[in-house]
Amino acid sequence: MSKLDQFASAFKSAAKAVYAHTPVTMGKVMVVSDLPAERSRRFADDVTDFLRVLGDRDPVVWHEHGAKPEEDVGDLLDEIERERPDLICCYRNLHGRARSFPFSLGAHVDVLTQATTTPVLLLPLPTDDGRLVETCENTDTVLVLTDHLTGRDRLVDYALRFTSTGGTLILAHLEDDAVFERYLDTIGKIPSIDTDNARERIRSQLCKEPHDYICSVREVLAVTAPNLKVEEEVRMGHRIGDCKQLVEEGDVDLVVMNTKDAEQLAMHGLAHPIAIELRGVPLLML
Amino acid sequence: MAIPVMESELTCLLASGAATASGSRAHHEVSTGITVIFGAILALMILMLALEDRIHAKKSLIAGVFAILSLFLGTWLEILPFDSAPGEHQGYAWIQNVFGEVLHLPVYVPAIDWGVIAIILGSSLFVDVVGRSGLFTWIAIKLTKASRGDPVLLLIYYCVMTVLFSALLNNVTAMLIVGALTAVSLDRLKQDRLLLGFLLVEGLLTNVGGLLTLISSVPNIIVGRAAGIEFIDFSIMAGPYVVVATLATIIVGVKRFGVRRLKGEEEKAAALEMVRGFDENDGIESESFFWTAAGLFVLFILTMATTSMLPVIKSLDMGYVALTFAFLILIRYKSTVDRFYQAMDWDLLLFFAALFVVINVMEHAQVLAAIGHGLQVSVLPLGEAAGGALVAASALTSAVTDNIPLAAMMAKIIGDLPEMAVSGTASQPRMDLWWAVVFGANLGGNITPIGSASTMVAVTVMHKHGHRVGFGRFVKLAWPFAVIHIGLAIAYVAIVAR
Repeated sequence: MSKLDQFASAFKSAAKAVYAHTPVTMGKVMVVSDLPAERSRRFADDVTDFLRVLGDRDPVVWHEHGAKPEEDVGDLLDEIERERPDLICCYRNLHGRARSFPFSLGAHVDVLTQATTTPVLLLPLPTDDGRLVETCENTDTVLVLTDHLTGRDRLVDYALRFTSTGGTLILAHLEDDAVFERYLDTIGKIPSIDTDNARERIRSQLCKEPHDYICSVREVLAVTAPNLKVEEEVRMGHRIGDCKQLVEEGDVDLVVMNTKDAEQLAMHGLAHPIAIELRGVPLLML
Repeated sequence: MAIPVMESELTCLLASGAATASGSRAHHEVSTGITVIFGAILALMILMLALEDRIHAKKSLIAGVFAILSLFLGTWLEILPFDSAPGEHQGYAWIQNVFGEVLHLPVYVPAIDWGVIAIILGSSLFVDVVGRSGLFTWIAIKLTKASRGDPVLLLIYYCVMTVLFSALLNNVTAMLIVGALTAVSLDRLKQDRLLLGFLLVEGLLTNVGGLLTLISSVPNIIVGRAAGIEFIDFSIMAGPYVVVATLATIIVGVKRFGVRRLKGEEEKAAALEMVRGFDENDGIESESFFWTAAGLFVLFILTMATTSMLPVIKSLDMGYVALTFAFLILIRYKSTVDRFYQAMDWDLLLFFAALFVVINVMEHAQVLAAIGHGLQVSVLPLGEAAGGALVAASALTSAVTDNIPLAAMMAKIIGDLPEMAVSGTASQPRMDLWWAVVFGANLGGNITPIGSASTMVAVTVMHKHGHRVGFGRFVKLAWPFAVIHIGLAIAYVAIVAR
């Protein structure tokens, strides 16, 4: 390694992503269901109660969208375009028959998460009488879950907006150890690279960046939201197993994830399998 | 062959410094033909060094091959000072210590200026280990944050940092640090369009800053030692020039590359937010080592500056000081010091050693005397303007070839001129000639990209970030600066450095 690279690496490492808070506006929320009118209204009421934190700061206009005959996903997108909500609340397998099979989110939800820029709150399936499940009481503990936390200010901003006053915000960064091991396996076959040193340094750097970012979040929130408790979870592990473990261990009320990016790849990465697996916890998909 | 040398003798030899007669025998009378042959060999070596990148060969190898060739021919043609009497020490040179005791060494060993090698070896090791403490990156990031992201302030701070790092470390390390930081910070500030200008100005200033202290550059060490210039005297003489040249470079750089101050509160706030993300403590693994390294670094500079005044130390010279500080700081890494030895620039050190051997042979072949004679008839008759002419000549020479052979050669040549002796034709030695070589050898690197190692580093950083700067483009971009630097140096040597 040349000395130029050494200094360049030192400065790149020192140039850290620092969290800058941008307030999130939630003026209008649209609750979408495929339930008949009465049960749809009941479901919307429960969602309003679950997300009462949104009304703490500004008034929120709640727009209920129940089942409509002959409606397809295009009609729903048209309505979203007309209403321009700041948040869409729905559940998996809308208008679908495979909701008891945990293998997909359904066509409606897939399109919603990819074809609109509006965040989607994916809730557990409603009960038979159209009620939100009992576990969805409040948003006291919100988990930001990603494999790329550093610099993702928007994720933190939204998570912050959804966390109850005095609640807990868990910032979790999970590095996929299977991918890490695959690269290390390749590095182990290159004689000019010290494998043990590479393992230690890469692992430490991978974990250091999100840690530093979380420190900068803490600094900002210590001033803007002093009552909020910020917890850090930076680890290497299994992309699904450890995510489930994090949610269960943290007694999490809401998980915030990134599903949209410029290349529309996120739903094919960590978010999609997690959204399918974690069916009992509300997921905010940005 | 074992040469019995008592420890006391060796100590005396080292301590005796200039009093020791190296190859004390007078130079042979040699034929013109031999001088011409060796002159051609020297010219060929300089040409090869100039074409180092084209022929894809390292300096040490080029100089090493020519050293071997020169030694062989010098021995074969009987121009080297071997023991004349056959016996145990045949094939060795002899030197005499202050007690008149004779030591026998291979002929190429006393040919090398070990004082220079010790300074470079010790300083490089010391600076390398201090760098591990995070001290230099800490200073660099602190300055970046102090600029609040304003491009003009950033350029000023980086230029000052370049000059100081070049003066206190060496110009290559300075360019490595500042060049790497410039690329990262301008990228973060979304001011990439300024990268080329920043790097060029910084690259040129490494050679200006390289004039500030006796240990800033190898030509300074070689010429300074040959001329007997003390560390502080060197800085006092070069300092005013460095300040003026740095200011001029910044002003021209700001205008030429369109560096503008930030306008409006929004732009300033955004830039401030971007530099806020720099963490100066990121590279500091141990706070105690950081402060130890900082303390030792200050002490190193102070000791270097006062070596000639310190009892005992002054006899051991700056090489001893450099090595002492290197080993002191290496205690921190006592079990892994070999990593630092491996990271040394052995190409540079072996190049120096081989170069000194070649120059020594050239001295015995009367090549340097011939060049000195040429200098006497062409430059010295210019009188007061001789210094200025020598600045220009040295600068042009070091622009196209390595400035180290130039400095090593000129140090020998000028040292042997009658004008340099107090009892010679002049009442005072012509100090302007020494300074002319120092200024010319350092500043020549600002004319072309191959003229100095630090400008080569600047060009490498430019290439790495997509700016293709070849020989012609570099000259086109750098010439206004080079004219200013060399013009100022000519005037300075003529007026001040007499």
